[in-house]
Amino acid sequence: MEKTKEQIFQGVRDCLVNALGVSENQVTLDSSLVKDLGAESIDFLDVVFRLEKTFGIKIPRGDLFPENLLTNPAFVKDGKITPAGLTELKRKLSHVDFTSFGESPQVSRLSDIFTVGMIVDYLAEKTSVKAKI
Amino acid sequence: MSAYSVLCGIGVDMVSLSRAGDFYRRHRESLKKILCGSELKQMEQSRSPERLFGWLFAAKEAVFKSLDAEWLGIDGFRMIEVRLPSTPKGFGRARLKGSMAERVSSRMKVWRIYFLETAHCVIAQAMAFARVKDPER
Repeated sequence: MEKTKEQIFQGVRDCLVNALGVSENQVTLDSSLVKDLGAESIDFLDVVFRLEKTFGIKIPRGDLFPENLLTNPAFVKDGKITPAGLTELKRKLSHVDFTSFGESPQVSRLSDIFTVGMIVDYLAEKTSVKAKI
Repeated sequence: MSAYSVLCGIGVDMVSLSRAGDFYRRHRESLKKILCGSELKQMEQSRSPERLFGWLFAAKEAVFKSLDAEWLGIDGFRMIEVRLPSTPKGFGRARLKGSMAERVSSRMKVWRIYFLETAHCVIAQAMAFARVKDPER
């Protein structure tokens, strides 16, 4: 049976609570994994593996978080994502809203795009859920 | 014409050993997604694979940072092959594999990794060296 977006959010929240040791009320759709929930790279891996188990899916490499982009000089220049890099990011991460990030595409701000809502949207897209919270 | 090594990048990372241990125990069957075969072998031969995982993870992250890169995804972890030091005061080594090696190998060739372990965490410092030809020799 297909899960609703609310059910997906609950599953994601449980994963994040267990992986990051945060409380349930800290996890909202707008929470940034890094800034608000204190996630580090080992946590990103932990979260991906937990999501795969919880939702019984396979998250292909680079599908949820971008890969092999920041080492490409065509995509990064002077600490900023180039227009070509931004286009590539949008292509790879169709579930992410880049409106705010695109205004000031600093590499150091890239982690801001990783929000709880982004994960929920990705999983909803992945499991073809149409329902809204 | 001879060649010499030039330091061209430094990266430092710190990993909580308890966090690494938790990760190891929970995702043991998935480690092959992020570790190379030689690294898995090093862990199999170790009396404390959980601790060793923390060292390997910190080393890989430190190498990422020496490349001036951040998150490179799960695939990126397997593109850095780490050889841990064989003696307590020795240094480890790393080499790049796959597409990452193709992209950066022209400027960076060798990584030395120094480790410091405290009661709670391991700190890895990766130093990237490039081989430069000396036209005057």
